[in-house]
Amino acid sequence: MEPTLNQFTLFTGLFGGLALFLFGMDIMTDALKQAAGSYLKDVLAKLTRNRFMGVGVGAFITAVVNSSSVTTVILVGFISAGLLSMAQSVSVILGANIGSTITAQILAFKVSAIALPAITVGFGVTFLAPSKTLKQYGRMVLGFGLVFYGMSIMSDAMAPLRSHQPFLEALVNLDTVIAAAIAGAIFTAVIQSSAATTGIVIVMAGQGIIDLETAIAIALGANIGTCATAGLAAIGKPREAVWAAIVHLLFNVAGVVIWIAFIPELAEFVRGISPTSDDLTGTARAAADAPRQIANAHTIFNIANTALFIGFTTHLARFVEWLVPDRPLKVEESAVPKFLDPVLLSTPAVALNNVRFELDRMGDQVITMLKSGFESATHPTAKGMSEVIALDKSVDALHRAIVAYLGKISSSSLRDDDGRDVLRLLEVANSLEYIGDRVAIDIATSTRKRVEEGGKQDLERTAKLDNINRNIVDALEDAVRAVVQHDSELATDVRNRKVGVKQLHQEFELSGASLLTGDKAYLAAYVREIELLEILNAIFRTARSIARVQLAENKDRKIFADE
Amino acid sequence: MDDMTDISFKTKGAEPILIAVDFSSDSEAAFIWGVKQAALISAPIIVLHVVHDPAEKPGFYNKLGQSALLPLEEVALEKMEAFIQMASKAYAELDNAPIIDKKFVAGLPAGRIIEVADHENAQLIVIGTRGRSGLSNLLLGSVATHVLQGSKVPVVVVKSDQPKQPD
Repeated sequence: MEPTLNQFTLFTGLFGGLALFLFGMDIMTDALKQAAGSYLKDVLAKLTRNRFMGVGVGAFITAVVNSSSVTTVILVGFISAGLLSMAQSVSVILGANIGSTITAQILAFKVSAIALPAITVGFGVTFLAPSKTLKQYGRMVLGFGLVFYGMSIMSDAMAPLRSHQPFLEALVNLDTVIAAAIAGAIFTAVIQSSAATTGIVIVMAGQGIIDLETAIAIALGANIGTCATAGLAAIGKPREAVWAAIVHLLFNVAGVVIWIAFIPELAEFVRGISPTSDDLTGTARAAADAPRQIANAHTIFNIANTALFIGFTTHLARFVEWLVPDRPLKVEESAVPKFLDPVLLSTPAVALNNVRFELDRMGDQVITMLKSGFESATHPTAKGMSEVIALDKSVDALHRAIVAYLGKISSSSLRDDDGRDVLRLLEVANSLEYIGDRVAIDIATSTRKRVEEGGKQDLERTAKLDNINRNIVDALEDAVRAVVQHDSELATDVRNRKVGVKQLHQEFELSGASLLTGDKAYLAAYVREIELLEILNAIFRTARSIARVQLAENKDRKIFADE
Repeated sequence: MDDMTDISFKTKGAEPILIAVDFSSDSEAAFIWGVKQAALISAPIIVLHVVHDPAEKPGFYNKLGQSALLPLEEVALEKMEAFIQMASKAYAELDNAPIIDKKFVAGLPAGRIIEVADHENAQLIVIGTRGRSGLSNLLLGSVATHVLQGSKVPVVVVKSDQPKQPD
């Protein structure tokens, strides 16, 4: 009689183990991204025109975050945020597959013995560590332990399947490599992790449930399934991001199509090069050797594919551009944020970097407001003011979007200095909004009254005011630039302009006194001029406080570097 | 003392001339021709750069020696400013050129140039050409050729008289 199969134990073991595996992967990846986010940014930024460097970067990031999907999703985010080009991403995508081989190689180790110790140590560090950075390292170890604990649970649960006849008969259906590859692709697409598929395949082969050829076919299929995650991330993104996701898909499908005919040869080859357990015989030996053989086969076909395609990155890119035509031109809306991509939220350091670019855009609009607001105040036109007020709506919308985005960033677990950065950027956004309101409300009101009251203005005084305003516009421009580019020198320079601007104010005030005794018609204009000067003064103070934000960042860095 | 005067609304200018540039020496020739032409017929100028990292030369928008990731459009803006400065330095008469509107859009160059020309009601598109020939022209085509084929307004293709530069 065949042994009865306890289905409850089987399924709880299988799915519980898979859940632990994916949960562990998630914790590990998340902790790595938090700890290495800014480093990740620098690595990507140093991408050169050299495609081989691109492959190296792709392999490195994927090996670090343990998932080629995460690498491509990050790439899609960077491209849609306008930080990287599709052409640059192609070689990084090729490299991502190489990086994913590291995960498979690690999974092939029989490290289930250290799974529980890793969980214990990881949890202990996460729970007790005083600093956030150390906590992240604790979570990495914890996640690592969970991944292997999940694998050993799946392995135990599946052990009885070896002799379960109905299951073995069902597996015969997977006998053709194409069916196995499709199963691997679908399973990977559903659980969004090729590492999990590879992990399960390693477990199954290690139990002797499937043979090496089937295992390789499923692992090949996983390479296709893994494209689904990036594909989903690219939906609704700019064309360049969609192209990158399609490059990923085409490259992986082409690689699988090439290799699927040579699976027996590949299996034979890895049997020859992988270490063997000489003390075992028959199926037991095959099962013991299978994990490393699968990992090696995975490594070989991924490296070979990259080597094959690296000469054709240009053609691949051109082909995809031809395959998926460009979208029609969309006129950029000033009120719609351009850089605040939700995909980037998982790498806070990069997301914060992009908030800076959005602030730069918001700053440009506020500066335009100030310039044309002042222009309409000194040379009033109805059209000029209504344009300024329209621009204020766009500034308000950007402000709201930036604040909401910063809120989302701060709701993820942040490193300490990223947390402080959120507060600083919030202050800059609020300051810019404040300036926008001063122009749209105060200058507009003052101008309306000025027109109603009529009177005369002195051209020399207007020129003096204009000079003051130009200084303030410059200060605002430089303050925003100092924040966007982390330029403390420029920020200090802005802080130091107080004396110069104050002097201009005094000169302006002095020149008014003599005029007051002359023409009576000048009196009304004089009152409004002083009012305008006060508003400009408030704007100048706010610009200087934006510069102070940059200096505060510098100070924070110094304090925490000393700790 | 002068009375306050209402500034009259700006009268809408003539239809602009669109000069498409990729910051190469061929573009420089097109730019100079376009600016001179615009001065002759007193038309406003739009200088357009389509932000598109060419597949054959990825990293066109990498800013060397800069570790921070900059948006491609920011780098394009810097390149545009350097380009205009360089062109103006080489040809002193460009100093009195009318105000130039700089425009950036992302996408595939040929289609975008036509779309922007359409959107801005340009009367003329000016574009440089590398004068590629033979096989590479057949395989890669040229932006100028595509613009010529697709544009509804007249297109002037300017060849730089400098010797061909290696890519």
